Amino acid sequence: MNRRQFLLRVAAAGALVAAGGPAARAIGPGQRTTILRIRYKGNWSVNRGAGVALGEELRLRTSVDMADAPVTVDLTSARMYDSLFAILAGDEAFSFTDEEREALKRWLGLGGFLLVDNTGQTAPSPGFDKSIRRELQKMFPQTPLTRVSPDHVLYRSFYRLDYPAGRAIHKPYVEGLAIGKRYAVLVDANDFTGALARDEVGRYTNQPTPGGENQREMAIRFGVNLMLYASCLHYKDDQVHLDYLLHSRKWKIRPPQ
Amino acid sequence: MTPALLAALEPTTERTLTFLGGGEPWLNVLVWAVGALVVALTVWNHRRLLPVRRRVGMIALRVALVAVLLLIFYQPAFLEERVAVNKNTVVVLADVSESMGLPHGPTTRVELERKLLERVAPWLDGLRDDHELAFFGLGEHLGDLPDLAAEPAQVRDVIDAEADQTRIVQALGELRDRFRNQELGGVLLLTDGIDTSVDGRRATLGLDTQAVLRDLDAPIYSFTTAGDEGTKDISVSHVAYNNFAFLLNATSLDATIEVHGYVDGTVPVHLTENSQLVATQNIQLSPLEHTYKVHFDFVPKKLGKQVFGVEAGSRPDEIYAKNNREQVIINIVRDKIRVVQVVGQPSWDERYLRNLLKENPSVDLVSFFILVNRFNVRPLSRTETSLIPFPTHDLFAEELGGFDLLIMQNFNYGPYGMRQYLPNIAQFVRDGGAVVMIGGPLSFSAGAYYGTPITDVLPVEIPPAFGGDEETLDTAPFQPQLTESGRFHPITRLALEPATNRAIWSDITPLEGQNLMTRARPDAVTLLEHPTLKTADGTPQPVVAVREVGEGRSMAVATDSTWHWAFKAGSVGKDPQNYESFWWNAIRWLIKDPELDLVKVKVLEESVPVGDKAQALVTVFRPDYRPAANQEVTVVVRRRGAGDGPGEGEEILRLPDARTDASGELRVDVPVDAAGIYEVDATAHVVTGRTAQGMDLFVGSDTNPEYDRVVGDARLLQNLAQASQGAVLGFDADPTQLALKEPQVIRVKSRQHKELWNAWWVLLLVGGLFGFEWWLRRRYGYL
Repeated sequence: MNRRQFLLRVAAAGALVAAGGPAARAIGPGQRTTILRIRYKGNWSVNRGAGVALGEELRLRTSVDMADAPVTVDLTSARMYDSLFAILAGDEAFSFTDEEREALKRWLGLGGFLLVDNTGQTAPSPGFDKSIRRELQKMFPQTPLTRVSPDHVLYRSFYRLDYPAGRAIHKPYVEGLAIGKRYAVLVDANDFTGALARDEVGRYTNQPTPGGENQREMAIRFGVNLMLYASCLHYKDDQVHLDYLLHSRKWKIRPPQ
Repeated sequence: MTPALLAALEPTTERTLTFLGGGEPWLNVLVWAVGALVVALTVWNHRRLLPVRRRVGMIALRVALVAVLLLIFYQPAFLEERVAVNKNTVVVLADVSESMGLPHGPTTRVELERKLLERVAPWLDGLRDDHELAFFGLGEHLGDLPDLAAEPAQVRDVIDAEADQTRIVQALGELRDRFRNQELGGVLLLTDGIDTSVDGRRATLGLDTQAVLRDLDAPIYSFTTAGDEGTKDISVSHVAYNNFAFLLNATSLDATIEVHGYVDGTVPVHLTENSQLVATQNIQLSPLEHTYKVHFDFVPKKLGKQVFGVEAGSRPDEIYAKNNREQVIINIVRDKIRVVQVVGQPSWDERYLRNLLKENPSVDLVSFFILVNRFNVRPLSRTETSLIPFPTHDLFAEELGGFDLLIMQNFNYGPYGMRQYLPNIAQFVRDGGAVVMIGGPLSFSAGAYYGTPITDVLPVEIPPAFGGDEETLDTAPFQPQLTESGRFHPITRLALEPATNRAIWSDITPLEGQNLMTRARPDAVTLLEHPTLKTADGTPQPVVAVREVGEGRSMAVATDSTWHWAFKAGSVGKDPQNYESFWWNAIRWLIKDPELDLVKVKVLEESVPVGDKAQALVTVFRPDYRPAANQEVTVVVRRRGAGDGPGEGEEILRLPDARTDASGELRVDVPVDAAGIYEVDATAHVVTGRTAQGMDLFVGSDTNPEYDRVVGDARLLQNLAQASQGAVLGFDADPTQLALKEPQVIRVKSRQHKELWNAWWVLLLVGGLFGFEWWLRRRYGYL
């Protein structure tokens, strides 16, 4: 029994124990959380099945009401507004049209979250890396990409993580582009989707290196954190202040010493 | 020219003997030596002259001659000066303030004052040779009094305790101004020592006061009852407070209690809020202390103006009991809007609302998101996740009262064992809190809230969930419709112009999914409704409804898709700000933002003395916040008694059919006939089916500064005496020994020397002495 089978069986057992209770389903299909896979003029379709895998893992591990399957969308498509979470993956140079650029900028400005995944095999693809930096610079000339601190809430929005894992670990960090106080774009160089890519029958297609299955688990956890960050933002930062907010406020008078 | 200047006597000539001669010391020695030698030779030459009588006569004659010559050597002269003596003024300041009417033993202070004036009248009258006299009454300002030394019978007519202020320090300044460049012989100050001014309360002499005393340059003799330990009184002399405080934040108030005449035991000091006891502290009395500081910490729990009182326990033998209490009005405001947001599962709807709240610095947000559910595979170790237990007990049993607004967003209570806390939430609303339930698959009936206490405070009735989702949820997209009430309600006012607002709503981005309701409650106001779905009554399904419950407010949003108004609206060029406007309007209405009141009352003065009139300004708005011109308004003014709360008390004024002017304003004069807390209520029917109300408070005050402290402060008088070379005496003291300043002598003409030696008779005297001696010598045969 592999890890996936184990998780599915435990989930089924949990569902039996909780039989009779309402499941968390959105009222309408549009209210479910969907992963958008961005289609663009380039090698966008690498690591097929990764979105499905991430959706399943989120459904198993969290209360997020995930849609059944990811949706592949063009940047200019109205379906971009079905969700605020999108993945743009690739391993070669590309370029957006002005229309795509404008559409993506508007989507990000309205609240969207984009994971850019460099799926280069032995090293991050320089062409892809150069392309995304150029496109982001065109869209947000005043806002540079910056390295996301290991202390950022992204690394504890659900799991406590130390680094962003993927199929590979080329860089122990991700870079982000902030709009206001939130990161709207994260750029990953570790082939995150490669760790979750599966074939038609559900088998993982890539072996993470150097950490193997343990590294894949870390990649899944990073994916869970990405979704929770997109949907809950800095919620876990609140928890750091919980004691202050609830117990250190001055609305209770302490007895005189 | 003032009478004091006319007081100068006629000039007289004053002579002083002086010597114009003399000269250098050696010359004096030489002259005296020659004189002595002449006398010695004379004695030697006449040593055998007989008879003795003749010898003595001859020597005496020679000595006289030498003396005259010496006198001539020194050139004696009279210095003649024309001089005048200027009378200075002795001022009598008689305290005529109300506190002088207080008892002092078997009599009153003013009676002591009258008797003293009558007693010293003869003595004062006797000073007129060298002094002028001036009499003034001492109150808020100096008041002229007749010459009570000349007419002591008038003392009882003009000396009364009636001034409502005592300003000793300022009165000395006025005195300085009146007698500028004139000399004072002394100031007799008859007072109880209670200075009601700020400077006077300090007791120490400020630089200005010291300058006044230097200018006066006269001793101040105080006749006073101050310092008499027999006076018994307990008073709240001062209350230090901020005139605003923050809701649910501890604030403080400091009271200064003065105790005189009591040296042991305890005095309770109470802090009240709207006549309700808040806290009590006991003062332990000490023989060494008169002034006690009392510090109160308290937590204001009601918004708006609240009346706080400090009351020191009274004793039956106090000379004055009304100064035991002081009332102040503190405006309780929000520092932040405290919001707790509980969410059943992460969603885009939650993400937008959280972001909206979190971005606003005026919101103190505490969020609890359910990140895992019973169907999830839970991590084996909590150390691997950042999950925390949902603190249901802390949140709903202990801390809920500290929040203004509870947002239950697609949240079901069942899995968290919190059914027992649902009554707390209902009570929280009734007590003045606000709750909004936002729809979703875990909310309303789908969240199994049917039959729970929380439904009692919601604006909607919900169906049971026995039949499955199809009976509680509808998943189709729809365009919400603005109701007639929604056209006017501030929550759904996305634009000030009604036509623009309607246009926005008619083109609003469609929503998706609806929690089905049985019906809106009769006392609820439905703002948005479903275009097609009906309730059991056949009315449209409410999408957004609000309700006032007890002291609080509730809101139901029967969908989890309002985020469409921000995200999806922006995709097609619509204004995403409509989402923020809607939710901020909702939050402001839920927490009763005073700015959203349609009727506002503002009393221009927070404290109005009894006998005056308070001015209240009533402003009425229509639901679209245009001024409600010519609007009928009912104004009721009540005076709250002990224990009365809002809306209670004696009705002292009712204007049942007053109308606003063209500006939507109405001014009301409120007569203040008695002390107390006055509540001005105004109501107007500016919204169909509802009464809009505004209220303000003020204090009708009969606290007289004269009676804030009824025991005089001898320190001030002692400091005045010390700085002016005066003294502090009792009313029974003998004034006749007072050291008044002597009148000043003025040289009014140039001086002149009249030489005594430079006269014919001096020459005749010298010649005569010589001639007489010569004649005697010839007669006695010595030549």
